[in-house]
Amino acid sequence: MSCGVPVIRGETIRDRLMAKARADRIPLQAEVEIIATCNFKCVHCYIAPCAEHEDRMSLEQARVILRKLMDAGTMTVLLTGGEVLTHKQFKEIYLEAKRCGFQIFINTNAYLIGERWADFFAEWPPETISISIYGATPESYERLTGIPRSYERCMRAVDLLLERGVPMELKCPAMTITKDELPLIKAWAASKGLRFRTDHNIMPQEKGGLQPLQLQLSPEEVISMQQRLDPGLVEQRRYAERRVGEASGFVGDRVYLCGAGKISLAINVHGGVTTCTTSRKVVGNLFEQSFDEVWDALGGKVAARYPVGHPCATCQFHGICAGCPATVESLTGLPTGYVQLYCKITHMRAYEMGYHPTGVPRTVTSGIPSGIVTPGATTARMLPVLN
Amino acid sequence: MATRFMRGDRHVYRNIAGEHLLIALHGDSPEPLFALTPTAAFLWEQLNDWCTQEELAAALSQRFDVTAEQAARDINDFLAQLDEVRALQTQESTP
Repeated sequence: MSCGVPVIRGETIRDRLMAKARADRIPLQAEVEIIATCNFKCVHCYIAPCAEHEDRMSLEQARVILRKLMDAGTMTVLLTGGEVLTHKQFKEIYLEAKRCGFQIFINTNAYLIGERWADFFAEWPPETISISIYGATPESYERLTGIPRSYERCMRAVDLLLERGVPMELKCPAMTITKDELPLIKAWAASKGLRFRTDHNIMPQEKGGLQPLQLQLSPEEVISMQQRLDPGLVEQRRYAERRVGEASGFVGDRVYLCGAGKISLAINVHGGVTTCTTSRKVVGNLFEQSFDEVWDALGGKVAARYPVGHPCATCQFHGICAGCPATVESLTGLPTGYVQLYCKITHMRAYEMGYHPTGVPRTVTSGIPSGIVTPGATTARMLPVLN
Repeated sequence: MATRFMRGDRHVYRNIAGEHLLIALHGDSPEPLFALTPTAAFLWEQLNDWCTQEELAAALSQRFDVTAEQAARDINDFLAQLDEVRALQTQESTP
């Protein structure tokens, strides 16, 4: 027998915990939305344009949530919004989460990060600050955010955090108005030694507004953008190798292939629990119910199976689908719905990687089986795949 | 003079999925996360209050099947490691 404090690298222990969490269904990861409003007016946003001033979690409410997550075995907490730094009690909530022993991730547009916040994060570092970048020039950036000097302030924030060694990554949504600048932004991130990621799925607004969907890239545009960011789709191939085909274990009628409801959950400003922040359909409320009750309800939701005949149930590319149950849910109302846009992107990508002979999904040649829920007529009109 | 020890407030202990973790709160820690053995986790709990090396050794041999000699050696190593990662406070006191 021996005692000891072996210094085990974060990734190693996280891998071990992840394996245990998957086996025992422990909610290792939580996304906590502490405020829904934002200081930017981004044209693509699905949360803030519908948010009211009162859509924020108080410090006391955050304490309730953090305590329940701690007791349930949660290790990482993503603090997200809206814009978290506009929350007047952000510092108190953050320090409460730190002192509970959570590893904290933060989503921010960084507009408010000056020397004082940078010093604070250097002293009390999060795991990662994830900063949204909205353009490669002040003109394009501020056209999207609607806020003067937002580009200059964001760039300064990145430098201030870098100078202090605060862990950080950059991300940018891929849309009609950002696609041409993504390679520049990626190169700029690389020049700073920072990880960069992008996502091409645009969601309708939480209360039903469809305007953001006009910015969604078509399948051809998505593939072209990905080829420019990842020539030869090298990274995509690496990801796909273990996730395509029957032997991968990803083919079948299971709807949720991600960790939602198995090792992760999301909590909105009102305590409502969802699979992730992309999903806005709550299954319970942590201000009113016990964690176990809500976690059971979420488990029930993610146990969903596709109905017989659903195109996704037998798709060889389910494991690399461009969509996910949450994005499908936001466009059709059901996680078991079907969005041909995602199917087209997925098959085109599979074709580019040599997995599919034509890149055209069966639903295009044979039609979508009857009884499968698809985006409503109004939503469909906004999606570029049908334009 | 006896040296007494107590855990510092720069780390938080958590037991997640059966893993004993020591999580650093500040940016100057050599690692953000440390893993403890079950015996080390027991000692961390004992260090909630000021105690001497002898008191720790007695608690360890009472709780686990370990000789006093082995316990003393382990505790010495453990305290040195805690000190190295700045997770320990020390105090000299007259008996």
